[in-house]
Amino acid sequence: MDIESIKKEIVALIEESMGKKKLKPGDVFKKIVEIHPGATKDNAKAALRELMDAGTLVYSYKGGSYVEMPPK
Amino acid sequence: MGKKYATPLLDELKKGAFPSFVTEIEKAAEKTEYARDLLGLLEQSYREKLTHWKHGGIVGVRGYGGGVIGRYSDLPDKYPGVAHFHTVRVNQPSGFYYTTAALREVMGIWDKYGSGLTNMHGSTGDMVLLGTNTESLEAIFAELSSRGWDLGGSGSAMRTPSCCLGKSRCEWACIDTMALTNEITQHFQDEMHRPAFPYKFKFKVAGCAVDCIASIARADMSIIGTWKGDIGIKQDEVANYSKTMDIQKEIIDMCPTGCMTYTGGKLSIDNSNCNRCMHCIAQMTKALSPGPERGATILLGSKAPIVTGALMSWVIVPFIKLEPPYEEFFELVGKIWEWWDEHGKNRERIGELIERMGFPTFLKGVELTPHPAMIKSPRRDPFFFWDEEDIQR
Repeated sequence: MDIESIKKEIVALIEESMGKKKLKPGDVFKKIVEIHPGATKDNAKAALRELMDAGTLVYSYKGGSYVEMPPK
Repeated sequence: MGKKYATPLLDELKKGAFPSFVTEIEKAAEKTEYARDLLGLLEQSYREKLTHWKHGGIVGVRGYGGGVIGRYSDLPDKYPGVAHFHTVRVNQPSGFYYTTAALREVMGIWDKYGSGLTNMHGSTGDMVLLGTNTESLEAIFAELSSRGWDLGGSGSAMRTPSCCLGKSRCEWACIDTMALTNEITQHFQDEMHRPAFPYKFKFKVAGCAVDCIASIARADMSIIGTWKGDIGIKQDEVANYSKTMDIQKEIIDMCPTGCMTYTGGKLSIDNSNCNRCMHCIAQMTKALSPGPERGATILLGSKAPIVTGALMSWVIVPFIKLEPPYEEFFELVGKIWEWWDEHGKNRERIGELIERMGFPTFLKGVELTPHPAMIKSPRRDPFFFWDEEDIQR
C-alpha cells in the first residue's frame, strides 16, 4: 500500500471534517481502511505519524485526543 | 521582591502544621512572573469560588500528541504571567530513582523556561513541571531529550507506566517491576506519544499483593506479583517473633481465609486455602517468604471517578511468569487494545467497556479461557451464584 496516497486521503479527511466534527485518530484509521482498498490500520498509523512529524497535522485535546489542521 | 498582590485567603493556607503549597509558590514568586501572577489568580479564584483556568486545545511538541497539557488563564490581561501556564509531563525513571545530578539537570531546564514549580510526582507517576508558555515548549523538549529524558503520556493514550521499587529494595518482590515497567515503556512508545485509543490507559506494576503503588485501584491494567507453591516458613524465626508480637492476634486471627494455625509454638499454613494476600509475610518478613514459583496476576479495569464512578481491577490472568522478552504479555495487551478500539465509545475506559458489554464477551473477544480465579474481589466470582440456602448447606 502506498503511504503517500494514504497521507493525502488523511489530510483531505481532516480538511473536510474541520468545523463539522472533530475526528479522533481511531476514527481516521477506521475511515481510511473503509475507503482505501488494501489499506490497513498499521498503514494508516504510519501515514498519520509521518504527517504529525512533518507538522502537516497536529493533535489537539478536548476531553480526548483529536487530529486537526495546524492553526494558521 | 515584594508581593504583587494581597492574598489574605491564600495566607490562611500557610498556617498549621503541614507543608503549604502557597509557601512554595511564594518562594518561586521571588524568581518568576509565572508564580507571582499565579498567586494573584488563585486569590481571585478563591474569592469568587470560580476557576479562571481553561484547559486543552492545540498545544504540544511536534510529532507528539501527549506530554504537554495546555492550560490558559481566562484573565490574560490582568495576570499576563499566567496567560499560558502549560504543564509538561516528564517520564519518570522506573521506581522513581534519581541521582541529585539528574534532578538538578531537569530543574536547571525548568528554571530556564518555566515557573520552577513542580509536582513530584503526578498520580500517574510522571515528574510534573507546572507552568510554561507555548513558545518555550519545543526548547524544553529539545533540552530534555538531548539529555536522555522523554515526555510522558497524556490524552487518549497509554499513560506513563509506573511501578513500585520492586527487587531493587524489596526482597519479597515476586517480579522485577522496574525491568517490566521499562520494557512496557520502550515497547509501546508509539501508543504513549501518539494517542489513538478511545481514552487513557494506565499500567502499574506492583511486586507483590501489598501493592505499594495501589495498582488495583488506579491502573487500567494492574500487574501484581504473586507465587505458586507453599509459603516458606522458618520456625526458629517464628519463635523470635513470638517474643515481640502476639502471633495469634496479629497474624492468625487476621488471615483473611483463616488458613493459618499457631499451636505449641509451631506455625502451620494450609496453602491450598491461602489467597496470597501477603499480610503474614509482610508482618513476619524474616520468618515467612513467598512460594518458590514467582510470577504475577494481571487485573484489568480500575479507574478513578472521572466520567463515571470508580472501579477496581478484575483478575483476567491468575498467574503468568512474566519474564523477558514478555512476548505472551505483549500479545495479550495487543488483543485487549484491539477489542477496546473496536467496541469502546469515546472517553470509555476499558473497565467501563467490560461492565457495559459483559465479562464473558470480553473474554471471548480477547481469547481468554474463563477460569474460576478470574475474580473481582476475594471469595466472589462472576461464574457462580449462591443463595443463602446453599451457603447454609
